[in-house]
Amino acid sequence: MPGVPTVTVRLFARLRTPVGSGVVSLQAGDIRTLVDALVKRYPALRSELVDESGELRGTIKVMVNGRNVEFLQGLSTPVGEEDAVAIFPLVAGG
Amino acid sequence: MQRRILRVNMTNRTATFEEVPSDYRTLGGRGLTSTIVADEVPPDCHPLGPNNKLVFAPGIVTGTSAPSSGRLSVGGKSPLTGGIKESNVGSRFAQTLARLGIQAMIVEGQAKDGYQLLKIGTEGVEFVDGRRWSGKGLYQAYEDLRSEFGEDADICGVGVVSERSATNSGLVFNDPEGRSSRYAGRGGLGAVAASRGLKFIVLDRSELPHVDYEDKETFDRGRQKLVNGLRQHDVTKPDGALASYGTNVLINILNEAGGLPHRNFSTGREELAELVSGERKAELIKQRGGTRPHACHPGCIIRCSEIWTKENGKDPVGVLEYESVWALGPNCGIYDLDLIGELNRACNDLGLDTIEMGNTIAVAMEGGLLEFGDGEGALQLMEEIRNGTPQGLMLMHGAKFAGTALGVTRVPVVKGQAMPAYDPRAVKGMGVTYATTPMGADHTAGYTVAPEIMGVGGKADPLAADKGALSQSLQRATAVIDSAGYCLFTAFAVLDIPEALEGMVETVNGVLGTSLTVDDIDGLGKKILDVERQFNKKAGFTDVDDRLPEFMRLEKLPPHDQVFDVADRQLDQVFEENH
Repeated sequence: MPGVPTVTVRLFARLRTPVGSGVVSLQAGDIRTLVDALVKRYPALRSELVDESGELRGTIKVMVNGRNVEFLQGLSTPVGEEDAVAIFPLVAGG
Repeated sequence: MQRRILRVNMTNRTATFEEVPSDYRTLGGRGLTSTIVADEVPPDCHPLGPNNKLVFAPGIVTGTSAPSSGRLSVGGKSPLTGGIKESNVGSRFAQTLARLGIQAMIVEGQAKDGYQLLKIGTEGVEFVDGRRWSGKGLYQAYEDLRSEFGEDADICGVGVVSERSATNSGLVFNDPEGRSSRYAGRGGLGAVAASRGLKFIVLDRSELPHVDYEDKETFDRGRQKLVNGLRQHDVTKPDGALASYGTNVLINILNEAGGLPHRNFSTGREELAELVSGERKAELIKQRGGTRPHACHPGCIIRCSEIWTKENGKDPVGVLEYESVWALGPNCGIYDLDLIGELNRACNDLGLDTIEMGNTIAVAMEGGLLEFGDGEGALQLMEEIRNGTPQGLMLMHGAKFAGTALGVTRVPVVKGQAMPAYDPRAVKGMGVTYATTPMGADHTAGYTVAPEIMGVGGKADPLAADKGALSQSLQRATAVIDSAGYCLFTAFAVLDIPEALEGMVETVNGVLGTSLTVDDIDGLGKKILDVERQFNKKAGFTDVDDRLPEFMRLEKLPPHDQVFDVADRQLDQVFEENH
């Protein structure tokens, strides 16, 4: 898609299993289109990332340049080729 | 079996069982150790002098079939902080102590003629000459003790650094395979034990009675609700994050959030962190034939533990926790899990707290004793400690002492205790907890990381400075969980699943015959914290002790270029009022 940036996305913990790798590149202009593109390319990720209505699960953390998008513009947070995008399932420890 | 208090006087070599005072009847774990310390230890005493006491208390439900409840609180006046300390550990030792009917054990006085081993069982308490284990590494000592007292014995002990009165010295407990790898590590309580003349405690498990319940039906109902919650939550379920990757799963997310301290709290993110991540470690454990998941005590259904080995699959260390991997790894510029594993092994063998030791090495690196990233050099420092060389003696007293000795001003401590694996400039609620908890910098005291980074128990922006109320409420809830005897990781489920929290309270009611509700938690936690704060005030602490080191207000932390900007007034309010 001309004009749509290619974004590098890093996946962590159990999200790596369906992809077989921790890094993928996708064309997307914001987080919503990025998640859509991700589950389209890797259908096995769908149940991990989105609920029955297609919305991003509340347990999934998407970070852009180290900031959780919930504290940016949510799914509308824009992304470009220079941005570091990381997606985490629910993890905890301490 | 009726619960009693066991009082051990090391001076006279006497052990007496006392009735539990009515004021203590509904207390357990941290609530009980802190109350006994406040009642019996003069706050102005020298922590290693004749008037300090060491208090052990299993949690209220510990020893029952409540899930993930094999926790023990150990309390006393800390030689590291100079204030009250409770250090908490998961080990079958806690469950055995509870099943022996010991609600608390108070060790007081000072032995006149060398180290003692206490053997405790249904037959009573026996004092055994402990001098022959003096100076030994703890891995070997635990093997020897199991040969002598039985493979099934539970053991608590202190290492060679405790014998040398190190302010960084922990109490070590056995893992299920008997290794010396489970630590009540923080605050120097190992030296408090050694200064009483206490070297080891061996619990004989033969003919072990069961814990009594006041209301078994209520207990069982609560237990089931809690089990359901733990099995359902993404973090604690059988194939959840903790069972799959261990606590070290946090390396990547904290690094990504810019809150994983590297090279003595100089930056919050480095690409190399992936090399020591939970994902990488789980992969290596699988390749080497180690064990993952693993439980630190029977009845834990979260199973965050593991058995890390050398590359050839031999010489097990035990678990490499997130805090230990971070402290001995990225905080020292070391990104090699095998080196970190050997540093962790040395800590376990000598009796050192890994968080304090990692920070001490990082401060030594900052002070020019060795370069950041020099893992072999760090291992050499551990040998200096083992051999008791002048440099080793300087390093065994923690980060603050090393910083003073080496002229380093960037020393990440509060109340003299080194910070855990969250930079408070990038996770500001943790800064409030580090600053204000009576324990000195301690992440477990009020784990704001849960809502700030993980989105567990609510959601809070980690860079927002308004965190007084969050830290206050989590500190109170934590004090109650530490008293009930539950692993703090049960909080991930109970914070998100109301029925699980209700179940937790019902298990406590079932054991005690009380009628507590979820609404009582905040008030109960406040009471415990007030007792601890009062002790510290009498020991000479003021508001100034509730502050982070100056450099964290002055130096911006990359990549978010943040300083710690929570107002002092907000820190003071954590204990002054209800938010």
